[in-house]
Amino acid sequence: MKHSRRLFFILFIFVSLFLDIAPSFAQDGNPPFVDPNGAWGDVVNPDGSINYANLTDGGVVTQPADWMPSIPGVGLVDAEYHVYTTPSGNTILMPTASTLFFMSANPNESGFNAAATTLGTGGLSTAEGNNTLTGIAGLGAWFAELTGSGADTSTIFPDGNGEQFFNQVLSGETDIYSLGPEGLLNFLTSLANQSGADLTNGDGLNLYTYMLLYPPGQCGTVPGGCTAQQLALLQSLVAALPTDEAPPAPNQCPAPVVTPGSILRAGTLIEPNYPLVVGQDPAKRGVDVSVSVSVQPTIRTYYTSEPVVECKAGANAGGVTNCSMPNGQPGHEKVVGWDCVEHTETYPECISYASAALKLTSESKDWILNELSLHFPGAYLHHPNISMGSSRTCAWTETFDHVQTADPGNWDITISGQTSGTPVSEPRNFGGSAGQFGVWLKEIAIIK
Amino acid sequence: MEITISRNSTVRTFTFAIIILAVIGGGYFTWKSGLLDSLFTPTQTVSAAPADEPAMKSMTAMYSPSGERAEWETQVCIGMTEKGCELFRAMFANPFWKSSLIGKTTSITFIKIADTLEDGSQVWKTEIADSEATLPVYIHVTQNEAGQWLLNRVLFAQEAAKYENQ
Repeated sequence: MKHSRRLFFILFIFVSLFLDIAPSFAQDGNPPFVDPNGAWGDVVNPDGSINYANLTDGGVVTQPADWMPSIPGVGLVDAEYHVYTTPSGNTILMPTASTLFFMSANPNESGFNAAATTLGTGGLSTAEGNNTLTGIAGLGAWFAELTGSGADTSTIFPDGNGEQFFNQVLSGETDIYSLGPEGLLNFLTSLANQSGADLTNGDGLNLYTYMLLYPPGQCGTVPGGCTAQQLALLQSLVAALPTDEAPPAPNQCPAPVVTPGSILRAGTLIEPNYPLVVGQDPAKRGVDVSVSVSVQPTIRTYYTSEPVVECKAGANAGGVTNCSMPNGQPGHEKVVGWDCVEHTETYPECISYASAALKLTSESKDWILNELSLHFPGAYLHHPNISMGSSRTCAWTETFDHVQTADPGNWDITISGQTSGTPVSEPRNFGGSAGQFGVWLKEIAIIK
Repeated sequence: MEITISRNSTVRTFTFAIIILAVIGGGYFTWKSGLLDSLFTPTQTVSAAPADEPAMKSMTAMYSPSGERAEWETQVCIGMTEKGCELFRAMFANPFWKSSLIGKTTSITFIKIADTLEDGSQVWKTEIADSEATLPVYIHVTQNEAGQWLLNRVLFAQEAAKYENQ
């Protein structure tokens, strides 16, 4: 049974490659029925092939997305889509295989569920207005088989049931990272082979498996934003308000502005007020140091062009009255201008990793090695860098007690790490001194 | 009828029983503790100088992207498995090449073996450091026939959290 299924999928891949892009779409029917008057009528020919001549190619769009995996020290792997628009202004999104997978694993965050309708290949279901689990589960099974064609699936899905695994991913019971390093390696390699075809082979040989359709009103949420054609269509819809004269043109509003939140770091000496080097302190008191780091929210400010409508006396050219004048007489609404309305979105941001350390300042090191060594021949640096600890919590506050400072001088309390980033901003590295304190030597009254 | 019990034969029998019990008990303990498996499983250890392992050299190259991209990718792949290199070129190279790491010199330090997986591959904890910050990075490595450790891939932050919290 397993061999026959694998044979089926191998045959499917061969057929897909020869047909440029796999042309089967719905669960039943071959070729499936696609309503020529529906949204997909602009996209798919009656024989099931894609009507590229009818589509405007928006090219490949890449963008950071917080639901994609993050590489430590680098940031998020970009999401990649091929974007097309239809004559009626709909946007068709064709994610690469790896992007599609992480999209479907995070359907709300990625906008997958926001698509008005989707169309998948390889026996997957078509879901109008609601992306059912059946379609994605089928996708998961397809990926499992795809992976199986190059590797032993039993190492990836020990229970032999890839579909069940993807159902669990989608229901939130588990996540893709529970596949483990070796399983995810095999799986991602198979996906990457499909994704890579887009960039290396151009448009002709892509093995896209899924299409998502967004109507013009949702173009602002689609990667790459609205095309000029879609904007014109939206404005024409607004202009259809009852009026006698052509309304004024919409204002050109300012571009969105993203203001990253401040990274707040603080390092403080708690006790004692005048710490002594531990070598001269029989009690080895050391120092108590407090560190804290947090990130303020990132603010995205954007503007929308909103029509200013007034009620004008009498009916419009079509004889319609739809408002009342201050004197109670019937009137009609007319667009008399446009306002740029400011909106703000707040995105909380976390610390993904932070570490704290004590570092003797370079001036103090020089002082020990040059001046102090005149009084104490052979003076040397005992332990000028002390790692105190690290955290992966969203905001970090911690006190480190009795840190053993063996060298006299000024110590920097350093806090370094990386923020998590937000859907509208990249992760940021931070580091450097967040506070300073002195450690004293009995014989020396002045430190440097 | 007279029954004679020899003292020597009693001691011999008792000693023999003790030895049999000790052998059975020892065998059971060896089996339960997994020592038996380890006797028949090739020992996989990190060499005395982990920094010299191909995987670590790949990491150093990966986190210090510079020069021509094709040459840099080749340099990174030298210490990787075939599958790891394939995935690196398809999914990792672009984010690295577009990152703020370009032109930076980053040092990589081996910290410890974080996990040994069923297939014998391992997860290593390493630390990357530049002039400003240090960051723990977990990597998945596989030993080749020559006993060298090759890099499969850098674990994503979402996966690394599992090891960081252990």
